[in-house]
Amino acid sequence: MTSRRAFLGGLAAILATPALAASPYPLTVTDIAGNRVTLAKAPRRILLGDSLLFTALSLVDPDIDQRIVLMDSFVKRYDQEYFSQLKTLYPHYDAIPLITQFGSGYMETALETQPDLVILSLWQKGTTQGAVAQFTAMGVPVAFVDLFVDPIAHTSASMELLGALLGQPAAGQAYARFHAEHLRTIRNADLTAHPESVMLQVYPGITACCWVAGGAGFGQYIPLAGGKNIEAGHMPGAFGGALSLEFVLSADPHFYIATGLANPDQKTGVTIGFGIDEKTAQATLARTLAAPDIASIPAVQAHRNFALWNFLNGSPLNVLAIEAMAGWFHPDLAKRAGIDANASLDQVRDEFLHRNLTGTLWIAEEAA
Amino acid sequence: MSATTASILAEHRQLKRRRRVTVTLLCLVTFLALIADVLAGPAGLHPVSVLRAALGMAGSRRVELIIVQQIRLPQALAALVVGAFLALSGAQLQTVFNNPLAEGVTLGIAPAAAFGAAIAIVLGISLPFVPGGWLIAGNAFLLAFLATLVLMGLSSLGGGTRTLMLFGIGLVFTFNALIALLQIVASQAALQQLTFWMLGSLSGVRWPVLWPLFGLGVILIPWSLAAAPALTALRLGEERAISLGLDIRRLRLATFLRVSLMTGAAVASVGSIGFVGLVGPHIARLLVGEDHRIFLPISAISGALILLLAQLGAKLVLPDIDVPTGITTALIGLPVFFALIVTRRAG
Repeated sequence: MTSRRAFLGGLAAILATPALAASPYPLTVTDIAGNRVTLAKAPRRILLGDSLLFTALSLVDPDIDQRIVLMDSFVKRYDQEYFSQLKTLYPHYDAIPLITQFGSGYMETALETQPDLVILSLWQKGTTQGAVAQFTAMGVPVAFVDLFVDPIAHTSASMELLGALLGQPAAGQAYARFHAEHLRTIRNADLTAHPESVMLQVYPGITACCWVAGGAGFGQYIPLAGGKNIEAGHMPGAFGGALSLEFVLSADPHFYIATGLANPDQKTGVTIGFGIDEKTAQATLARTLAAPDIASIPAVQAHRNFALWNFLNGSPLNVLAIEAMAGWFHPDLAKRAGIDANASLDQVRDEFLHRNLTGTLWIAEEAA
Repeated sequence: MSATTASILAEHRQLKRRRRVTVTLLCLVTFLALIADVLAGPAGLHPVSVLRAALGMAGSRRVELIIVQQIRLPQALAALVVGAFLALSGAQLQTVFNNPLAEGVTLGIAPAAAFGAAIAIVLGISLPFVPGGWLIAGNAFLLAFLATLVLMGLSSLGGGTRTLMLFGIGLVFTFNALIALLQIVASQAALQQLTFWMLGSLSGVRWPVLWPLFGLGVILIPWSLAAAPALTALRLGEERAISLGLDIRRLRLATFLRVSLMTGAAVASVGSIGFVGLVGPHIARLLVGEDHRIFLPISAISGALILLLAQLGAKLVLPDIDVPTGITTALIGLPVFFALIVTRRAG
């Protein structure tokens, strides 16, 4: 009996392996930039032009580190603790060769790795045209995904696209579904009826006061969560910029949100993100709020202060940031709608990441 | 008295009168620019509210007090002092080097300061005894001072002004290359901070930054003005100055010392702001000529005015955005400068 069960179990396992299932390749898809991308076979040598996309890829294929042959050093340079967590959790991650940035400057290294798929972020489109043309001419497929320029419209589609490209369409669709469902819950929670003004300052303590989010990225999350970005309409570009402190004071935002990264060596600003405990995040938020310019903002004095890991901008976990904000701006409505960012993070970890990526991605200032 | 002497005297009196009018007008315009700068801002405060808040009178809202006392006043006064420092430095350097292109930026003093700041921002390296908030300013000041010491050393070795000028330009390229090197290894946040710093901005100036500037100004501005007769003599040519009994080497060293302190302090407080040190003295020269007793103070006032107008212009055109003053300085100062050149030529 036991042996029969073992046999059937083994058979089921064999049938479930992608190798024996009907192969999706050759495959033609349309990427987020609108280009048709054709893959003759499953990609084994992936060039990841934006290392911040690693989490997106790993949500679709938890062993993706084995297939990446080159990526940029963005994450390593900008977020120490996130990089070291990934190194610990993905055995091949640390062995992936790094280039400073993907583009014409590192073409030799990029070509030498002989990738069979290049994955880039849409924001890189303008700066990588030469490199993209080179790879396309050589018959290496290049696909653009987007979690940064228009994250609300593109996250689900990008995750489905990644699933298809990496030969894990079901996983891609599952995450896209998760994202869309959570977004729907947020939209149905009636958060936008009475929006409160919000100032989302990017890297306070590091850049001059007051560099704020614009209409793109975080700027898209704020209105969905029932907030009103004080920047709205004041900057010529979509990616925010430096508002004058006087403008901020006269705009009198109701909520203050600071963003930061997980670099514990940093002497100013908020230290927050994967690999950071809540205590550190709280202490560094407190020191950031105590800086004279920031301390003069009425919302800060009223202790309506929060912090977010900056790389939730450009991450497939963006919907979790919106949920966290919804909980801050409209706690009762969010609770009634069942919006719970921490529960969502647990769900992502258990159902998609299959890795114990831990840390503090958002905090509300602790009452003194 | 012959008719010729009388006419020369009359002309001289007229010149003096014209200068007096020019000086009075320039002072008035600068004072008005200072007032306008304090009155203008994105909060759209009523002038009466601004005045009440500036004087700390009862009835002002807390936010008004912060805006006027902590933001507008220190920024406007910083524009005044920094503009004066930069232009006064440029004026003295142009005379000492006998070169109209000499100023803190073209001689490598400001780029040295920028490199000092970059070391602090990107690598976190600074002097051990400098407190946290002053790391960047401390480094910038130190490097500016060191660059000037090098120039001074070369000057005392007997290098001619042309050699010195070339050496200064060499320093510019060296420090710019070193900054570029730091930029490519900088983190995103550090890079952003450095970029902003290098564009030069008055928006971060608060009273603690202003006090040391005032302190230096009280010493360095009178010291510079006291050197005016000697600098006027030097302007007539080195040989003539020597024949008048001037110790040129000493004059040059003292000027370098003043300039390094002024440029270093200005750049350390607000970042690199070019153009003022170059154009402030030129505007002064066009207005009052070469007599340093009047040329130096007018240079200082012109520099202050350029920076005040740059700040005011930025506030009026893009009120909500924190536009780095280094950008608007050139945008607003250049048309004024060209207009002056053209009208003087035409006149």
